[in-house]
Amino acid sequence: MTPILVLGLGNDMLKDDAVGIRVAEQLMGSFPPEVEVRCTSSFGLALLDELIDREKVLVIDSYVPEEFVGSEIQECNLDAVGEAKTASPHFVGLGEIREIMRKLGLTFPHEVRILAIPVSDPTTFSYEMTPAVAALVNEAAARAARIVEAWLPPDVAPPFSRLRKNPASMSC
Amino acid sequence: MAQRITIDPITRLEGHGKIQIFLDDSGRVSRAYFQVPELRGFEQFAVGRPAEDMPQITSRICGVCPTAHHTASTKTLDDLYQVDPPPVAKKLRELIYSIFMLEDHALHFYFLGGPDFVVGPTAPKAERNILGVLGKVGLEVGKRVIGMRKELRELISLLGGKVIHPVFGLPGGVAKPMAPADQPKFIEAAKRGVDFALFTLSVFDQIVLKNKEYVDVITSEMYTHRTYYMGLVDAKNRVNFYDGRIRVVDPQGKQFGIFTAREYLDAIAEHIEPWSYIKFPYLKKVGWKGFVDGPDSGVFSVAPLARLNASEGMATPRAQEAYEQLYATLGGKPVHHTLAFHWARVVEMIFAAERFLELASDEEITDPKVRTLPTAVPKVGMGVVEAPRGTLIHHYETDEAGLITKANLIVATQNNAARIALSVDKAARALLDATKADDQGLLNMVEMAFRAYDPCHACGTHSLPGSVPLRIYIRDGAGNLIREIAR
Repeated sequence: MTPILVLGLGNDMLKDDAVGIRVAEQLMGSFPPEVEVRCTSSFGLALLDELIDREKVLVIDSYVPEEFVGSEIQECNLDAVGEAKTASPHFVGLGEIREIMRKLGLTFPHEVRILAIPVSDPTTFSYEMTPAVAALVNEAAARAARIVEAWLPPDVAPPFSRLRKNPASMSC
Repeated sequence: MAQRITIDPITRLEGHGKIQIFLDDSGRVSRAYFQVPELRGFEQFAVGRPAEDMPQITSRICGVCPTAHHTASTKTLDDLYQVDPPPVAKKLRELIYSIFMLEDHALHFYFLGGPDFVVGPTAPKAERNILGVLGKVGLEVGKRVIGMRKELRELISLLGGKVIHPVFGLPGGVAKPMAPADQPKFIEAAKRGVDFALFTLSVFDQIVLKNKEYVDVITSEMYTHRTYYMGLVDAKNRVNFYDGRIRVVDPQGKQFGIFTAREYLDAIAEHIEPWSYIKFPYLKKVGWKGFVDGPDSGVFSVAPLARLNASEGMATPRAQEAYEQLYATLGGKPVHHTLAFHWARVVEMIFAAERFLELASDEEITDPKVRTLPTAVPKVGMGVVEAPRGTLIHHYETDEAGLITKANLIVATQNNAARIALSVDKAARALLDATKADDQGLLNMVEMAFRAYDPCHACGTHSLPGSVPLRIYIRDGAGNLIREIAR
């Protein structure tokens, strides 16, 4: 279990919902061994399995803005997400998972950062993202790399410099 | 930039589950609707793709029940290619499926139904969540649930690949046999699963059945609908999750029909409403009479209680005992109380665990001959399983090269959609017209009306879940919004 996890969330069959996965794919192979990059379509309580025994986690996900045009990639920590509670395990959020894990004595990461990419259409079955969303992948990957870089010891080379040019050869 | 951003993974899709309540001129409820978001274009997405890709594609529609879609799709490919898998392949599929059902039902009982019964229907809002359940059942039980769930998911991965993206089922069989060295792991886990399921029944007995207030809520008229019931049964009309024929009983519990997946179009039709993306299946021979129950209405129900109602018993001994206890306590078959779905789910947990143990202990289970290669020219295939949330049917048509020309799925929550609409409407009427409940009380009691079905709208609309937070909109007779309630 590596101490740092980069977790791309989404569904690659659902047009723009794939963006978190595509960013994570671009990051694969870019980091030293203490960083694992994973993708998942899981949500709700299933995310608990991903978080156990990690020290720092970067979640890369999408959000649907009221207006896509003019919206930007957002970055925040877990506390900014809020603690809204739901009665459904299918839909529990990271804040709730943190409480559950702490209550059960499971180790929750010291730090969880969230990188949220605006999307236009996450509800149509397609492997192709909207071009404007696809165009955000490089920027999001660069920002993700900088977040991870700040978590690494100073003697490790900046991961951004090692971002792969052709991520298509490695996929989740 | 002022905008609302929801980046919690559960609400990545901004759509809300919505309940629209329309009042008449006198302020009484005239109709309540439950609406969910839509995903578009599944059929177009599938057309032109190789049929053998469908178990992977459909299992990725959502992350809630990938194993159900994967298995239904694999069985549909058996039918499409007219190939009969070797016995051990069927057993391995059912073994994986039993593990999945046990895990999914446990999750629902402790964490989804829990706020209603383990914590209590009248408990303060702040306690009516997963953390409240942990507080009530104790941390050790909570750890046991999490640990059991993890172990079961790892077993699925061991045999079937990733839980979310299983790569196990193939037309005519499965991808790999069970290694003899792994069999003891499955047997030991299955024994723990049986213990855990029986323990869960004791929790239900202690917390729910010994509490008259809870039992009164279960049997209250507000949560009762006298509909038809549907479920897969084996040759002896006992509940079966993996295979068999689809049996339907009427509101008196008498057999109304029994048919194979191939015959589903003769039995089920779909009704469309302008206010919902969900199509509402109904019994063709009875007809669509609107959102009403009774023998003259084609509305039917699926999922745990419906499966028990549609059967004549359970195929394993401890589950049969629990089945008999349920009907003895609630006045015989069929039981029409929606909240009894929670109890039926516990009965099915026991069945899933016992079946898991039977299959894991089967002498043939490590037989390496796990596939019959298909040779027929494909044309039409239909398959069915019982998903945790009810009967799930896949239907594909292909050209001679095996490329999809048509794909249709009738998913479990969709099969329950009409009865869920009935439940929401009835609860809203009772609560708004009679008790004038406060906002959160209203939300809670209406939620209870549909939560018992364990609805997952991810594939009910061919959609990822966007149904939290739930919002209730109350409108006057002219459609003007007069009150909005949000969690």
